[in-house]
Amino acid sequence: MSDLDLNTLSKLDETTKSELNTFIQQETARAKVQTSVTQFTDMCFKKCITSVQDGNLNREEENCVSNCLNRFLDTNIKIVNLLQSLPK
Amino acid sequence: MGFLGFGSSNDNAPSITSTGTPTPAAADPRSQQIKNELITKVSQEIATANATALVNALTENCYKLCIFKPASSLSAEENKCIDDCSAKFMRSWNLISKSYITRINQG
Repeated sequence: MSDLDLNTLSKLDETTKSELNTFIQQETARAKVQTSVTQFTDMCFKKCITSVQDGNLNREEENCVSNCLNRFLDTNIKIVNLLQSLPK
Repeated sequence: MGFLGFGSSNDNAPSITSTGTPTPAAADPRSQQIKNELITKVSQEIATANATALVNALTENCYKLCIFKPASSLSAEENKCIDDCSAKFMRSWNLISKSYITRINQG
């Protein structure tokens, strides 16, 4: 693999630059979602899974995990709204 | 991931030009090569970062649920518990991924 430095990058033609841009944007978005999912799973697993009997999620655990995520997102939205309604 | 020219710079497959729609100017081969190297590099970095985060979360959670009295090696029960715990974690991951993406798309 050849060295990749800013000098090399600046020599790319426009078509390639825009293709790379699209790729980076897509992958960044995907990576953000993946990071969030892992964080949410970590948080909700701690809250909802208290013992390990087998490798399956039972009904109760499944509901708990699902509610955990959705109430967290509700909280997040509520906080954003609260902050937006603050007098400037 | 439809990516213009990606991985097909050398084959002779006819490109879709019959409609007369102008395709973007063909990128020069050196640029294409650099692009492909970058794409490989970036994909690998992202995969490594994701895997690291997952391994850390799995280790922490399953250690807490399965290892109560650390002995000189993992017992059979501890091994089984770690297997089951990992399976549970991945099922939770998939469930959360599905629900989260559904919520994102709802706006």
